[in-house]
Amino acid sequence: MTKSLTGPSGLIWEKWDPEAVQEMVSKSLRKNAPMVGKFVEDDARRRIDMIKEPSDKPNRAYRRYLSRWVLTHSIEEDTTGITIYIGMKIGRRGQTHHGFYIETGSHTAPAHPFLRPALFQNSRQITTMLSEPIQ
Amino acid sequence: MIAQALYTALASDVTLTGLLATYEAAPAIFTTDPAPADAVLPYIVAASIPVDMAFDTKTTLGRTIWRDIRIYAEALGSVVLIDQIAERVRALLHRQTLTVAGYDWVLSDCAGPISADVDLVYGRIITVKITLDKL
Repeated sequence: MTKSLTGPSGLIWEKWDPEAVQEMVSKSLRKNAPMVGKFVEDDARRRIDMIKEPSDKPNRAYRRYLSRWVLTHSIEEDTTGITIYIGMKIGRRGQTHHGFYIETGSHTAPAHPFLRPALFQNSRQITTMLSEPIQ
Repeated sequence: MIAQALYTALASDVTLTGLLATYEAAPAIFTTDPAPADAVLPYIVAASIPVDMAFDTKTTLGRTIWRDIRIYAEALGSVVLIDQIAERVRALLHRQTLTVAGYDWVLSDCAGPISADVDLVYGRIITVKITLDKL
């Protein structure tokens, strides 16, 4: 296996070695995943902070609570791959739907998507960040 | 433009409109969010756009737009009606051609329905991903 650090992704493989490539990709993902998780979490936070309606105090306080304390990201690794989770923590009383009705709306409230746009509107940047070369 | 295409696809189906309430003598399908306060259940809200991404190539311009189709019905102890509506909406949109002004339709792909029940109202959400090429 030979490699050089001249390509935009950092590597040009001159001889195919599946195990070495897999190891290198794993290393790259392991290194870059926390940065991507934080990036998407921050963008979701920015989006939720920009929501103005409903403007009553309880709703504003709830959004602030979600933004400051509940929105998070985590990274898990197993034999099948590395997964980055971005979303809401399970609440202290077991609530699993924090932010769901802000994202999707309800029969009385309009939708304010903040989580899906943070991921999909940034998909190109995320791909680039994930393939940042290992120095 | 997408709103008009979706409204036409849904409102022109007699099976679906037969399952929905009416609002001002038209099927209760709203492209505003939320539905008017005096709207009667069951109804559909097709307004939220969580994702709108470029679908460009070197020589063409296009878009992939996600739209949440939210269906609400009164919670009377049976989900038969709301599930019928949701399945009909899915059948009308999944891999079905849409006519969108200024664009060539490429693909429509549905995810869901997922549950979005609140208090005394049953809810279902279908996310339709529509890919279009600009004319």
